[in-house]
Amino acid sequence: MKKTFKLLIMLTLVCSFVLSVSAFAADPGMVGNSVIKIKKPETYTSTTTQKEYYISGVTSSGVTVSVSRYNPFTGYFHLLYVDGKAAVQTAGASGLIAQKIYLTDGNNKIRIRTDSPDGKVTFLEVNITLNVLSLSDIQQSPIDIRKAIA
Amino acid sequence: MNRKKEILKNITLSFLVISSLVLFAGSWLREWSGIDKNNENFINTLASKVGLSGFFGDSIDYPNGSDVVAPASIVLTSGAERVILNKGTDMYSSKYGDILSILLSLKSERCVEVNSSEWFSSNKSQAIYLDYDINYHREVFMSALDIPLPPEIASVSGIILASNDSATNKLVAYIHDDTEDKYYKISTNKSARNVKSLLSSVSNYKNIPFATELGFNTAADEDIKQQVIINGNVPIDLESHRLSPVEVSLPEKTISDIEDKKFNSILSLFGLSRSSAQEYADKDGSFMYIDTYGTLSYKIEENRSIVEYSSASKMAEGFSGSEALYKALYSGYSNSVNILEAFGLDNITLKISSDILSKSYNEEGIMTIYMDYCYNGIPVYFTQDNIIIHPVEMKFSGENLIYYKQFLIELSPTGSYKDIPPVLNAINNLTYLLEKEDETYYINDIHKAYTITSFGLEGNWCVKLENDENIYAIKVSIP
Repeated sequence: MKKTFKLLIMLTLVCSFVLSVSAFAADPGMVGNSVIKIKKPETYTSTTTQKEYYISGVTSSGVTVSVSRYNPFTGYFHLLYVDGKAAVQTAGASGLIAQKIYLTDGNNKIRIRTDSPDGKVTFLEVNITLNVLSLSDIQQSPIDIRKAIA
Repeated sequence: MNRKKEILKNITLSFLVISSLVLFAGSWLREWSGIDKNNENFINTLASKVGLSGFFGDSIDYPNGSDVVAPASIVLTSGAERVILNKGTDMYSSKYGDILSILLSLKSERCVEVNSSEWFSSNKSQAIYLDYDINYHREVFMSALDIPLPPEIASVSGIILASNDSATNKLVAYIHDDTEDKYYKISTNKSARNVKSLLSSVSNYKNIPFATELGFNTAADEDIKQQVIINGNVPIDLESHRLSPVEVSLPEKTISDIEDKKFNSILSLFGLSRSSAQEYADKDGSFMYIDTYGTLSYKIEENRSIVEYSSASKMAEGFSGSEALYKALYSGYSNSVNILEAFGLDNITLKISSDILSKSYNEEGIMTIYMDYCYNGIPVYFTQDNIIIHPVEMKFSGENLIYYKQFLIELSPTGSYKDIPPVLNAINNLTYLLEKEDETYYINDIHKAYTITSFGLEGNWCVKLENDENIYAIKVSIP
């Protein structure tokens, strides 16, 4: 009886642990939280060959979205500036946002911060890797290689 | 010498007799078949067949079918960047011929239905997207371009020409049948070399994602309500824009300034003849021609003039159906082009703004076709309470024209630039404009345009919503 009872307790503890871990695990198919849904990139980790990249999503009207990038040298996230303007947008009535950023070669650790009108602040982090064009890409897209060389 | 005179006299007499017989036969045929009411001139058709086009006074320009059924815009994709060519621009004109050649080389070797994902995927990397903006019945498309379509394709609203893969580099075409919401893929054994060389010949590519690439064509989820969903085929250019200066005014040329030969041709477009019609002129410059077949009027308003025709028989004999569709569209388009040319308004391009389908005929067998004007590839819309009203409206009973109205304006490259903010600003204003805060809006198209208002010419974003025939102009202030 005692053994059975102990076994039952152990089983309950293990199940609780597994459930709690899975509850905190990120859903690989969905980037977002209760305040914002990121449409692009579609996953937390993605790869692209486009240096000029749009981060898009949908949120509620009045939410301010700002985009920053991790600098491994400083160890901090720095707000991005694009064509002289800060990468900060406040969603309008449609809730759609699209922010252009310029990626650097290799991995870009991007943080998306939301500031809601009620004072709530959330953060999301995504990794976007910018790949230099492969040989097959060069053969396929002569326009891009001319720009890459330039 | 006398003999020669006799021969000459006989030849002259013979010619006179034959020509009078021809004229009589033509007049008799017109009455018998009613082809004059269908905007065909028997005599001039015959004359053109024997190389005497214009001999009998016909100075009508007959457009090519490929100009009537032409894409409103062509989107060229190379790598991750795009260029949009609008109908009426020099770049469009210079590339359309080559693109048409690629299109005309298609044969329906293998046609399979595909899903929307494959359609959207094909429009990346290296592709030519022909956006027709409206739906054309398959018979109209085939008649205009003289290319066969597989029988399963009911209508055409868009075509993508692309390479199937980098390994075999074969040309594939995707066709969007919007009326059935289906996508088809036609595979060929032809090389996609022409597609790639055309894409390489164009510069000024920029980052313009389609709505599908931004994820704006699908709803987010239940947690966050996405109030606006945009058709995945719509290119979203997220930058601010500056439209070239253009001003609108009353046409300098009036109907009195049109040379007789051209004027007679214009009358013949509506089956009227100067010799048989009664002409009424007013001091204010307006005219009216009344004939057995119908009435044509011309009047001048404050900043536009109006040509209007009404058939004497509202329900002229004709037949509805696919055969009539192309004839109606072609004749209506020809009328509009020729009237614009007659009044010296050659810098205006026409844009067909209503579907050309069998179901475009109502229960009484009448179809209404609307057209709008474009200047340098940018639509110029007349507006009333933020809703676009079309400057060209025509009604057909079968293939017979029973009503026609065309506003005439002069567009000149003067005035100031029109600045319009990024498109997202306009989309955000959409809810305020339509005052339906809890609804989800499905945007079928959003594009830049000039709008003619009581305050003059403005630059705006204009929106077409799903299941709504109206086009809405969205006023947005510059941030």
